[in-house]
Amino acid sequence: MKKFISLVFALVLTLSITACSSDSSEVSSQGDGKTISGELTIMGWGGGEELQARKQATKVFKKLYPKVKVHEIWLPADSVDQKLDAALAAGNAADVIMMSPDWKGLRTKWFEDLNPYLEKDNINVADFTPGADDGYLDPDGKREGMPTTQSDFMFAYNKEIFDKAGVPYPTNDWTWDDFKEISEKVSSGSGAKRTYGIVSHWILQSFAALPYGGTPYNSDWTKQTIDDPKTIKALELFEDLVKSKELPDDAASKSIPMDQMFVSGKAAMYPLGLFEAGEIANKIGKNFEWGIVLPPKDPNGKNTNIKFQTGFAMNKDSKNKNAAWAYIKTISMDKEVNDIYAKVGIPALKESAETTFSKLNIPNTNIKQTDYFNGLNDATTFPWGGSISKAADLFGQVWQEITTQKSSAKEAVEKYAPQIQAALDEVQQKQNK
Amino acid sequence: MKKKFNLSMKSESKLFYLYTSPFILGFLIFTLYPVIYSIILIFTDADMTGTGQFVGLANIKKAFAQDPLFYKSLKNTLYFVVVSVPLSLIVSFLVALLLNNKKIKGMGIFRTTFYIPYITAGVAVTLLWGWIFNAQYGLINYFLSFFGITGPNWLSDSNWAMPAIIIMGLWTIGNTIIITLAGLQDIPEQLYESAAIDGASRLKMTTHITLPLATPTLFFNLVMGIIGGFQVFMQPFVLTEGGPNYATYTYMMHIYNNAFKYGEMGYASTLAWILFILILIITLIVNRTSKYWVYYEN
Repeated sequence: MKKFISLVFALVLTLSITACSSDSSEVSSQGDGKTISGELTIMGWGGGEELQARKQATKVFKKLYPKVKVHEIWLPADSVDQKLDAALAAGNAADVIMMSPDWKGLRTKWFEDLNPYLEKDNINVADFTPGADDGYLDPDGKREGMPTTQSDFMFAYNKEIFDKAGVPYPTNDWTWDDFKEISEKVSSGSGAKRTYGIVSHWILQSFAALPYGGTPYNSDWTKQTIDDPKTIKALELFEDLVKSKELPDDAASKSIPMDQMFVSGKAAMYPLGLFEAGEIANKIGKNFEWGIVLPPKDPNGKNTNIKFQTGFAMNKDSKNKNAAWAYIKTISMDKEVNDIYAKVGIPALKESAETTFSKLNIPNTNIKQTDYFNGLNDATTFPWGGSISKAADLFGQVWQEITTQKSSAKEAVEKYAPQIQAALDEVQQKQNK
Repeated sequence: MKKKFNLSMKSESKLFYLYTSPFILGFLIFTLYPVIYSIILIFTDADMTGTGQFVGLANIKKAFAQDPLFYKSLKNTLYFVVVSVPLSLIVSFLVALLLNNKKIKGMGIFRTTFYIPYITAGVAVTLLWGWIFNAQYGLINYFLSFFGITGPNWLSDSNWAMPAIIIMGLWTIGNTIIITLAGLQDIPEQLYESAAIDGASRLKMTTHITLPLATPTLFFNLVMGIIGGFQVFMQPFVLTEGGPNYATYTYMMHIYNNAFKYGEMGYASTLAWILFILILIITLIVNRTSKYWVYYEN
């Protein structure tokens, strides 16, 4: 009898262990490729090489999860918002939805909280590239998504203009005061023959609050801080640059496309986004020698940079959450996928960023991409997207008043700070509902 | 016989509904339903997904009491309508007069030439005009430089951006010209012959015959111009994005931004209905005044 009871216990124990292991493997990376099945729809955006990378990454997923039938919907970036919102409203949105932390909670109500999934699979966020995971956690702790890629800026400079002006090339430890001084020295000429210090790139508006440690708003975007003295001082820097024609004013910047201005030697510097680096390099060709440097630091030695991030979220109404999570996890954490993404951005996985990405050159050049990776330290997530786009438009007016020289930085701030605050208040009211 | 007639009537009636049903269904689903739904949205804080909570008259209050861009965009749009509509009426009338000259050979080519801009892709033409207005390299300022005039920063100067858009609008008056021309060609030739016998000059004929008899066409163009003018969107959207400093920010841009950029469908619907009511009132006023200046032969 004792033997029989022992046998039953052993059987029950074996069965329960088998059951447990089978359950846990359903969302873990080992062995779940065989257990997860069903259909899965992915929705995202992109074009050119970026889109090819997304498709290749999906192929890797299909290889790992052969029983999952994947439907891919890739849209042009400018049509995503309307189509995604229509699909969400109609209840037929994809299981996995590409997103960005700069949406700032815009569609969070439609997304599954991924915290439990990370906990269950013991995902270590320290495996991510520094800053890659910024912004995926809402202020209330909900995890909206998982990172895929990042992209930031370097300042490209025309070595010939610098040499002609007798100005040493900038180094990675330069500050915005150095930048102002250099801009003045490398600018020359007048009218159509003017050589500007820097191109009026659209991203400068996002840099505009940062040079002296300021920010456009506080960390949970509840209060505008453009009337903070540090931010005003930064805006005054750009006001000075425009007044002294080191930065083209609104009219001059419309006279010639910004990339042409740099490529044709009409500006000494250009804020070069990783996403456009290859294209600009191709346009420069052998016109002149050029280099890249980190954007200037603030007085505290903190790196000022703007980063764009993309990731994936799970539709909370997905019928196949296991497969959705498997896809999101694979895209974020799989080395092969991250090596693919390294060709079009800074991948989320630190290992791929440090090895594959950093070894690559900017296409068509022998300039290493490493500094783009280094530039992520302290970089600010693009501040003006998603739910705060109304505040963004108002800040755009501040920038326009400065670049059209309609009013001083201080006057523009006085005029628009209350309106920006009202716009942020509206966002809070909506999100608290 | 009567039974046969009734059957035929019934089958004709069925055919009527069968053939008109695609339009009726399309109208009900794609026009009437959205129109009714947009009225419901006025009283909600609906977002891009069209769902929201009941907020009473908050959206109407917001438009009139809390939104500075409501008045700014309305003022800009009125500026556009007040200047652009009469200007395009005058120019199109003058061009139509020239195109009505039957003695010039190849008039068809001229008529086609004036009409072509109206049917060319709006965005492409607008981008082209962006270059024409370019302060440094643009054709207009280059032309002005021959007279020693330094042209303004058309699209970067708050005072000149809206005039630039109005000037650009004249490029696409081909349709108004064709309608006016059709009106002019409808004027009986005998009236001019009688006037010529009486010794009337060409100017007299224009002011005393052509202009009065063209008033029904002008009235039609005026009403259509006002309706279209209040809905001006594409030109400032592409050319200036509403800038500089909101100088070309029109009412339609304000509706678009609130609906598709800020996701405030409830508020955008409110703005749209305010615009509809405004256009309706102005059109009714213009219609009322027509009895004082529009001449109908019959």
